Amino acid sequence: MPGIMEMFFNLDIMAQAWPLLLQGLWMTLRLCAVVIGLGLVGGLLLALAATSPRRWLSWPVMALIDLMRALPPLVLLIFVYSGMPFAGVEMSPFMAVAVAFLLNNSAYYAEVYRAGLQSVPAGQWEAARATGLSKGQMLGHVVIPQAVRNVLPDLLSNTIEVVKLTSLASVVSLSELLYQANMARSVTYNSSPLVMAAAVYLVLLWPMVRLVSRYQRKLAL
Amino acid sequence: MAQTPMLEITALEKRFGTVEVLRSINLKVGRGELVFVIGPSGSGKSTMLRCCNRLEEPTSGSIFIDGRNIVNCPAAELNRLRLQTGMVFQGFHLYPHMSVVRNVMLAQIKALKRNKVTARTRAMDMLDRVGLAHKADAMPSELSGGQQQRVAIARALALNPKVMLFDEPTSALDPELVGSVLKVMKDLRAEGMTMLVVSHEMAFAREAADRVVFMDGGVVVEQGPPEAIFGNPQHDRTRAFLSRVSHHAGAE
Repeated sequence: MPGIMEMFFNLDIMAQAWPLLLQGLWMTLRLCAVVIGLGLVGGLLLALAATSPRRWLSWPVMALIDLMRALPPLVLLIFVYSGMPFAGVEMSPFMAVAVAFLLNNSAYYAEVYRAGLQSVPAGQWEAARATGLSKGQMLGHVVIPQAVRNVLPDLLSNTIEVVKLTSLASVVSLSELLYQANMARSVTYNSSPLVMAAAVYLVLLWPMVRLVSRYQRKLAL
Repeated sequence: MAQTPMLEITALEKRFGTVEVLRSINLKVGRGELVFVIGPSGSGKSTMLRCCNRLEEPTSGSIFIDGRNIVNCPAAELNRLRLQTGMVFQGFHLYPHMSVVRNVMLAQIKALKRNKVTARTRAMDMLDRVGLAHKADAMPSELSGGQQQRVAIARALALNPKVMLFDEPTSALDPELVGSVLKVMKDLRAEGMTMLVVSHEMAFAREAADRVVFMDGGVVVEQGPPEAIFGNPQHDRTRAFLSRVSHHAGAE
């Protein structure tokens, strides 16, 4: 069926659209770097606060984490981008997406870290405490390394979700991969750029998906 | 009395909520002495031991280590004071993500601020002392339980503690691995280490302990040399416990 090849796998159109998609990919990667990088750090801090024995600290942080996980990320994004200007807070699309997804994503990372922290047996804390390590040294050298190791597949899974999440940024006209592909589609009256964008996501994420599977199988052994 | 005892517990009490776990414990451990604490489970033995490095907070009373009260010491000094006691746990608690030698080096570097070369040399000496220098680069998961416990002893010894506290050090071990750990403890005694041991190894207590303390219901019921406690116990509760334990051992 030449029609389908023509409509979805048109190489000429793909070649034309490629520079546009490359720009989009670059934007997607920048967004991922910010949201994943800061999310990994922010999530750890939130998880440490959420597992703190100090209730005045842990309860508000738990509430924040719950709220951010319950809110659909698209709602959060549109609120930050289109709602906040009414309060005088105006942001560029990149900034708005980064803030919204960071809030959402830190909460998810925090839940993963929290499971990791709780998976470290109490005996590890006690052994560290009994040898005179300070709280910070215990966390940094004994507890956090084990916590991260125990939840590495989940951290990776969540990271994959973040990469996929960034395609929502097209809604606020951030020129990331999907937005650029959709632009190319409307200009060329052809769906091939969308197929190509999907292929780029696949190339980007498939190795990570495989890695997660292998890890999970190894941990199950 | 010529010397102050290395460890002295006076009027120690510990409550968890309304439950009284320790009721006015008094106990002295002299320098170089090996004191064995026996008693039924729930008698407060482990809690008492854990108070000695404040893994548990005493409700009241004093604990002197080398003449210094550790109970009311400020939180800032606590980490330094903990270095005076070496703790060995029933479950070993080696750090699973570090090699054996790194396990023994960590607190030396972080808590004692030794440099890496000094810490490694000291770690290798201690591993040699427990007969495991050849396992320095192994991961804890590659060792048997007995070997893990000996590494845990080396980890505690590396910090030059004044007192070693053993919390049921052989209870989690297969019977054929118990001997290697007890041998290390016997060597330590010969070298003059002060030790307070909570354990069910009655045969070892009889053979190696300087003094045996029988605890029940959160109090020290009686104490004395092993011959006296095992051979001629003065209290009914001691007699009842010892006969239960020996029946149990006989049934095995």
